[in-house]
Amino acid sequence: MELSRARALIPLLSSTGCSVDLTLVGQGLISGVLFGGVYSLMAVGLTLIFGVMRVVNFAHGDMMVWGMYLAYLLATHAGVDPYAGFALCAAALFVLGLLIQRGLVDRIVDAPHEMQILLMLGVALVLENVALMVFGPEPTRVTSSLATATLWLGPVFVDVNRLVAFAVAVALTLALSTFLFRTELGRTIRAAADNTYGALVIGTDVRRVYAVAFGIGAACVGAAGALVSSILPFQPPTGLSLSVTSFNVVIIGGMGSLAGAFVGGLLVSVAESLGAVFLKPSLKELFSFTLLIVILLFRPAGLFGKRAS
Amino acid sequence: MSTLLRLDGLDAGYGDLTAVSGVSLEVRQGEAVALIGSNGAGKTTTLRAITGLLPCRGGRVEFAGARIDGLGSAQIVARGIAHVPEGRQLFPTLTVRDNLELGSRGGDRRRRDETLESVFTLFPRLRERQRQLAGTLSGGEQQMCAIGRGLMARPRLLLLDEPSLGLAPVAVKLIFETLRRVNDAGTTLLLVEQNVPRALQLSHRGYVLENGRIALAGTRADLLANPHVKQAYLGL
Repeated sequence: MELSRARALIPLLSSTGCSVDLTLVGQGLISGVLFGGVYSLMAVGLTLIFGVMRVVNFAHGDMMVWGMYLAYLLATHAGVDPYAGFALCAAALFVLGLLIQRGLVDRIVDAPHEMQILLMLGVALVLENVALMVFGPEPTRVTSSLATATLWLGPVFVDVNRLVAFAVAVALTLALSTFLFRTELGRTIRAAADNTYGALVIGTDVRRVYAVAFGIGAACVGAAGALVSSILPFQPPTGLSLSVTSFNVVIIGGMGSLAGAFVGGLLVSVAESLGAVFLKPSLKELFSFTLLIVILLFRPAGLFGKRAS
Repeated sequence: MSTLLRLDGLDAGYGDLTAVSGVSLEVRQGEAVALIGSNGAGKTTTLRAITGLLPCRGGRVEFAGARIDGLGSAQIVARGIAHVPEGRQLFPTLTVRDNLELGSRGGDRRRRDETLESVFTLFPRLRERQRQLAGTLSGGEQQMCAIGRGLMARPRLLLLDEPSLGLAPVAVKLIFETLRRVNDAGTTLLLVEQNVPRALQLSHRGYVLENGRIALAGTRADLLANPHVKQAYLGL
């Protein structure tokens, strides 16, 4: 076969001692891009919250873990497949986000950043430890009817669950962007993100805008959690690494930029996936954080970020 | 002429600082009133307290016969006061048209389009630039956009904070001519300005604010003839 010959002819990175063939690289690229849709969705939620409120949601990953556990509950108790249940998880997280915003974040919106960080870290700790009390420390994974299905595209295979997760995540990101750019409420949210004082001056109910934006940000990550709940094994402490990944994506893409979050999600995921191919899976984050450092060196405001004025 | 806005012993400030104290003034229906004073006299603070952007610490604010101090800015705008703030405070990454439409209150699209049309008639430059991002406008155009956004709310009272600040003389002239037309068409104006000659030219009456208190009040003619105003604000 033409391709297998090419595979044999081109060993890559032989200097590291391991030869990597093209099929593996192709495989890595595909799974990277597919998983990237979920990273994008996580980051879109984080960047929306930051863009509108200038509050960094340190509980983002922990909210996502709650999305995963909700998907788990739905699957085990009601027999709902996570690829259908994501909508319920998103709705539940929307409400959770709304409550957290109204009850807690609203009080510190104008506070200095260090106070906001303390509060959001506190929320993260509470969410993580409540999950620990309720669900225990063991890693869990949701079973989905799609989990074992694969498609072969020539020499590489595609996990159907990753493909569906990607499709849904991209669809949700597009839906959010349509909402923000094509509806009155979306325009009001963009206006408040652009200039909060200007929005107040023209009589915008900024508290309502904040609550909706926080709710939507949480809903994004709730859906993202459900979508990966049959791919990634998770446990309560997983939230921290998900938060870190979300920050990484948002900083690479440019804080507050939706397009940046989307592209950044795909880039980080591909970087991690190729890292797993070239080095070893446990070192995959070496690639994504190297990417972060390189971007910060050459484009400190991120790929789509505007320089602070 | 009936009183539209009445401040009675207004106190307001920031933190430990009292910026205005005991300010009383009134604006009648259809008037243009200037609030003049130097930097830091409390002019902006007074406007912000009227529109609920800053809490009133004492005194009363009445609009159209009802007390409005203590209401939120959204409710105050809904009652018919629009604020064109210092520094314009546009939405720079949104288009001029988006900026203007956001100023409109209530969901009636036809009414909004009519108002937009009248704003475009007032400022033809904004019609030309409607698809441009507000952040790319020149200073004068941004000020037109800010005034247009205020007018989109169809206010009974328009508060203007330093509309001439940082603008070229040609732009200042155009802005003040347009404000005269807005006032002639029936919108009441309360204008804060450091450009005292311009402000008094447009206004029927004026108040002079010094160190957070009303130092002088009178008609345009009174103020123009006042030796203190002449010396301190007109440079005569």
